[in-house]
Amino acid sequence: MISSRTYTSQGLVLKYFPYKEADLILTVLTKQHGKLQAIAKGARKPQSKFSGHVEPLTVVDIQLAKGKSIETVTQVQTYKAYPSMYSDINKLANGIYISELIDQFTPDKEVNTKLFDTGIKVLDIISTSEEPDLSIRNFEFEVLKLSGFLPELYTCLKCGCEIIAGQHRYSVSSGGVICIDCSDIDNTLELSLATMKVLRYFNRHNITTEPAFKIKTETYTELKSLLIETIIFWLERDLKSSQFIEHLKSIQKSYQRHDCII
Amino acid sequence: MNLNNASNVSDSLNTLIEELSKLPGIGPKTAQRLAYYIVRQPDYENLQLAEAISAVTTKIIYCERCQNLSDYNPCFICTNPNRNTSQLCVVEEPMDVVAIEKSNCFKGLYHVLHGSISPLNGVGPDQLRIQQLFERLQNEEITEMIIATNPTLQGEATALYISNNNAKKDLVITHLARGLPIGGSLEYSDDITLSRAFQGRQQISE
Repeated sequence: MISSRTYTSQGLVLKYFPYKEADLILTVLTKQHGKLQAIAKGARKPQSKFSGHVEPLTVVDIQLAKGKSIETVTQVQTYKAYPSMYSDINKLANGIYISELIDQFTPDKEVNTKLFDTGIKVLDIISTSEEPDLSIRNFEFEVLKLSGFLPELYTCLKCGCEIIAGQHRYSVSSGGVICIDCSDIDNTLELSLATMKVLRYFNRHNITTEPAFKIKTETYTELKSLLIETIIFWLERDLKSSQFIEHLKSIQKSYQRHDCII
Repeated sequence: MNLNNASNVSDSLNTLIEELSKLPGIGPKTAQRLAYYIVRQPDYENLQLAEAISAVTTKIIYCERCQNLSDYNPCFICTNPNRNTSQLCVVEEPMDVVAIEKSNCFKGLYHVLHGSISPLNGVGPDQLRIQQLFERLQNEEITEMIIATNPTLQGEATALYISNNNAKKDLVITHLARGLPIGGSLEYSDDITLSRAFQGRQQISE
């Protein structure tokens, strides 16, 4: 039986790096074939039919030719782009963070259709929402869940007892909640009832729209630190783009302080 | 690192191959071909090449004003009295200055950032010459800053970062027009380029 050398898929361009005179090597999360690398020949030339379509954070219909080590892009057309991200640095930084998160948690050529759809959904929210932070935390939880690192939220990971509301702490290394009797204060994180409720909400609901509720600042801080610690633990590294987001936030805070003084 | 069998022939040839293979885009085989080509060249041509490499190593410095590579500090462009000192064009790389100068369409001053913000590669604002740019804007009589970063994700991030964090009041900040390239095709254009081309459409003068 003769198999076709080319195939098509919908994909999200996660990143690229320049190669040779005018080529780009793309990392694309495809819906039907998982994450893969592909060379887009001549894509850095202004007249290239690929240019503009292969920028990161673009959803594309892509045709690829099978190669020995990496695929070759033969056709590509934008399916969905996010122009609003190109005019707001916070949206852009958040978009890049989503792209890095997907890239780091996805093994090559492993199909994960749900992750693809969820990734597009959170990018939709980031591009339109003024306060997408809670949706980004929701996506972090979703990535952990869809990659096989779902935190346990209902039974103690040490003794197996059912968790009683308010009587719990969180262990990053164990991968979930621990009852207050089994917890070791030095090796576990504080987990308030409010944060526990938000985590359980994330577990029950897929990202379709922004969460319809708001949470207190201290709950958000606890939630964020808990999810970031979990991500760093499983990846065994920090995400570079999160440092950039923190840098932007620190500048904005210093401007706000400056405005107050004036 | 022994890249080939030249070590059996000559240590100096082997060293040359090793050094050439460190250049971008040059693999071990290409380095070997180049090394044998150099060996066959007349002596004076090889010495000219060696002198040219030696000269850029010892003479090239950064202009402390525009951060471009130059033999002199300040560079020729910064000291040229015929340049418009009220306009400043911000570019990513020294090669961008060469491209703009070749087009002969800009007569102001430049500032070279030496890269673009790329969070995925760990390149943040602190790794670029952005602080020097902000200091320049405060100290010089610049009225317009033209941001000419590449129309890529990193280029746009850099442009947004600079325009958001500039503290100079009454400064006109512009960026180069986005749209269709000469020789390009409307059919293959992406959505963002097309929408910006429509936004920046111009009346055809009679």
